[in-house]
Amino acid sequence: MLKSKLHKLISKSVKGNTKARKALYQQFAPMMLSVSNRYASNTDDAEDIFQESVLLFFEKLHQLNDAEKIGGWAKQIVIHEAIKYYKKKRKLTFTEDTLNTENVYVEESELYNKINIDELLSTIQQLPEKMRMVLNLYAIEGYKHDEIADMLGISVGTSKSNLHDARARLKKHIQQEKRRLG
Amino acid sequence: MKKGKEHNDLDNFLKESFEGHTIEPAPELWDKIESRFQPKVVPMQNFVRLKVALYASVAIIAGLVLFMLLPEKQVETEPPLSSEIETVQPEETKQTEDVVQIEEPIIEKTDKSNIVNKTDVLTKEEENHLASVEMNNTKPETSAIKKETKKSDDFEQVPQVLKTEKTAISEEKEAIAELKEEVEENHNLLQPENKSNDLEAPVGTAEEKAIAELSNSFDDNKKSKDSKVKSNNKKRSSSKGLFSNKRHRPNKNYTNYTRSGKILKDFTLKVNFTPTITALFVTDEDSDIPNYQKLDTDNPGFTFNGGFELEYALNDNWAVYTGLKTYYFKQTFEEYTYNVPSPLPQDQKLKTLAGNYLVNNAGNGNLPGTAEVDAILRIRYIDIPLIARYQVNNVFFDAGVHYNYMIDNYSSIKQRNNLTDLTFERNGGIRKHAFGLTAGIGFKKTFESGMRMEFGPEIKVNLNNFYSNEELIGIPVFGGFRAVMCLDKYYNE
Repeated sequence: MLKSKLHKLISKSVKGNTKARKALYQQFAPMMLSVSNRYASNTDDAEDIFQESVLLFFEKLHQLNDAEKIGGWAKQIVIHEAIKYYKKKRKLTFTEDTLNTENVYVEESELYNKINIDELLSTIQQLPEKMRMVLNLYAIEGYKHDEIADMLGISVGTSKSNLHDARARLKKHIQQEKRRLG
Repeated sequence: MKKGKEHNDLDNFLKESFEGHTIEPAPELWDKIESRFQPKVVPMQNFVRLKVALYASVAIIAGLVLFMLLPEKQVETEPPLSSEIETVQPEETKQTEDVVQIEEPIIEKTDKSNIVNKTDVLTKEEENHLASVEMNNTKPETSAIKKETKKSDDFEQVPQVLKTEKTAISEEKEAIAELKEEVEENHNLLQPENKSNDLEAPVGTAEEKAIAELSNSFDDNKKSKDSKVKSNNKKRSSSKGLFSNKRHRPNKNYTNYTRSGKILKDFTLKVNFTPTITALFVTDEDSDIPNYQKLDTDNPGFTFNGGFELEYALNDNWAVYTGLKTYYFKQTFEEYTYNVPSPLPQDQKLKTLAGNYLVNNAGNGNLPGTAEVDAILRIRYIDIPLIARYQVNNVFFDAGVHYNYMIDNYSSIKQRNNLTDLTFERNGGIRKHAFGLTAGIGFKKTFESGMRMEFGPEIKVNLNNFYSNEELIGIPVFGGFRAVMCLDKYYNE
């Protein structure tokens, strides 16, 4: 989208123009829904997070300083909304003990090649919430363990162990899926 | 090594897989979201608020000025004294009315000690003179009066005319007295038995008739004059209002407030300009409010304030005034730190002595940590005072109450380390309405041009809490030095 057009849309949306809001929604909603699906355990939760995020997106749009960063800004809104959502819904307890995942290493890197993105998303959604959060924040968003620990209110060690378990489970799921597909 | 590589492979795989990944939302989702949008209330821009305040002030001031000037027009329908003098009217009664109306200001403007005893005598003489004028309006004395009064624009010249008039009246009265004596003598000679008869009794001679007519005309003239004066007074009293006929007869007690008398007498419109130091006194800094942040240092602000004032003089010493002014409160809190809480909330409301902040963490990868902040509190109030003033000579003392309404809060935060995205919550944590006490002292200076200036310190203390949160108590104080200019002129003594 052209920068000037984006500026106009943002400006009009801030003033409450419905058409401009819908245009921005159509532009960024698919990405936001994708992110909310990664953090949610099912589609219903994902939609709830998504809706709250979109509302907040338009509510806080006037605070956006750089229009070019709107994509990253929208993504951050979804991430924080997801964390908030899960804190409200159920009290997150990040366990210190690691799961026994010694036997789930998969050696072939080609393992990932045949995995469909929807299947991968489904696999991530099946992870326990605590692991899914850390996996998303570390592996996909690029946060460091100390940052994740601060964001989620856990220790760095807990963050690391949850990531380790998440990876192991994910690989196991992928391996099972590959075997199933033959 | 192998394990680390595997992890990297997985992470990269995940990143690549979800980079640019989108899921098209169901169409009904937008409808759901749209229905939850609240009607957007666009906050009024600062300059719009200022404009509105400015227009409102101008409208109010214009209304007040019009209100004050309106009775002036009504009074103008009553012919001004000078124009009455200038107008040559053919009717004899008009002339007498003119002279009667001249009397009032002359008496008031003449030295009290000289006039008190002379006034009555003068009035009688004048009455005689008026009677003679009625009888023969072509007398040279009357025309002389007319000429003199035509020329005179100033009341100070009138006493000269009056002297001439007095002399003429005296001469005329002497002549009439002589005539009366002659008639009486003749009458006594002819009819000595009718000594006790009144002059008004029927007489047979032509001279007696003439005297009777003369005497009756005196009475008629007197009655006519009295009725004219009464009707004139009625006219004046009927126009009594806020600015009644007092302006034509400045109250001698208002020595301090006597001014031109043409536009205003009791009311004075003034412009106020007050450089002010503002400070906030906080009585309880140890609060247990959640997310409360105590500020380490603070600095008073320096602002410029002002507006219009309207004063009403009660007497020499007492006056009351109100006004419409803007007061600007400023306070700077420098170099204080607070810990960004963890985990990061979406929108955290942080309560501080500088008002409520919104901590907006979404969007720029903000991290928890310690933020270093300078906060500048800027609040603009509309100020409406109601002050009583006591004055002795050129010194005055003010005391009263004021009401403040917050019309704008454009406080700001400067971050030294840009850790988080902070904004002040609009009007957050600070009351919109405030009231308090005002006191001041000063002196006034009336210049030769008739303009008057007032100077002096003023202090305003709000009595209700600055914060909307009752757990904090803040008292703003404004200390300023006023420079006030009166917009209407005073008499130059």
